[in-house]
Amino acid sequence: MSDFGSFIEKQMNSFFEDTVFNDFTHKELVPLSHLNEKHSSWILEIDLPLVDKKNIEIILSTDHLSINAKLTKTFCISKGNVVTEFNCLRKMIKIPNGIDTKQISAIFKNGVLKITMPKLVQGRKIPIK
Amino acid sequence: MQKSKVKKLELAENPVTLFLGIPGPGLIGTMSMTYIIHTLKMDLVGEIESSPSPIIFVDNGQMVGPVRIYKKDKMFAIVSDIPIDYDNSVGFTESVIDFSKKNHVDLIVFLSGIQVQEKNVSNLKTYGLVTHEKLEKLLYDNGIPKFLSGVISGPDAIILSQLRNSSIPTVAFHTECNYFFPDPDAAMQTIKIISQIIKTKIDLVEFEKQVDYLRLQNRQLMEDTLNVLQTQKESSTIPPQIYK
Repeated sequence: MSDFGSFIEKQMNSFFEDTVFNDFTHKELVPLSHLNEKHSSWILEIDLPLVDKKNIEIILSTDHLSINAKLTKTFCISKGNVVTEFNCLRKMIKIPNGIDTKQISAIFKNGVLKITMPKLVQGRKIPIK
Repeated sequence: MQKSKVKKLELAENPVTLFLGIPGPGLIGTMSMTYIIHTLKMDLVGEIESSPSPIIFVDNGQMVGPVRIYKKDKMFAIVSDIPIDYDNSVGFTESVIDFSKKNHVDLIVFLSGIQVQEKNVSNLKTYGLVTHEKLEKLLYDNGIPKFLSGVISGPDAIILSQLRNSSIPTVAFHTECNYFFPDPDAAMQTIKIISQIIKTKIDLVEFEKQVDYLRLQNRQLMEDTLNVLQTQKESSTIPPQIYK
């Protein structure tokens, strides 16, 4: 690994030492995600670097989305003499209420998975007197 | 009577320049400065101390703090590996200003990111904001568009406000980025701008090889940074973006 690469790894390993991530023993990483509410939909973005589109699986259950993505290369983190390997990214996210689940769609671009969850259009028109 | 904010100066031909890279939107500042420090082989010359430091790195048996100062020739760099939160941003900036005065810094360059809804990775833009009229020439000469209108919030705003009120000329570069995820593409664009400013070619081949790994490795720092930025967002009624 290059100087820069090993420097980054060294720094981040120290950082991870006492962090909230408890995914080391499971050999899967939890990706970053961001949920944003728009006028007619919710947009969920998930950062999936080192992943091919064909290796992403999105499973919709009653009220959750489960995202599993296999890494194209094993990602290693070394702490002292211990090297831990990670092969996939995995995250489960509760979907907001009032979603038209049949209309959920996803695109994958530049390593970011964007899931659009349209809101249910329901109700009745109220006349103005 | 209010003080006039119009400031004029003549910038030295080859100014002593301090680059400031702290975790912010897309982790632009930290990633770009870290790469430049290593590529240019800058020397570690000191640290910005906060008491007590929440983290210490150990490198070859040496303890190093999270906010460090590097030097090479007439260039200084301050890089932070932890977010600068509200409580620490005033003290941090005072330390930066104090250091700059003691070391005769002519120009401070602050590096950050700005959120865009749909970014074009192959054509990312960097916008410049200056504290002194004459620095606009620096933008013009390097083909950098001015940050014309919008809002900067969070610790970035506190730091820039203090730098603006100091006597040290400052230019802030905001590169289009993904606000919520580590954005090495935007960091690369920032490195290109710095390369122009310091008139030194910086090879990006090594950085390009590490792009995916940087995104994976920096997840925790990004999460910590967003927690800091979110604290302010909740008390703000104006979204931190918009430019022309």
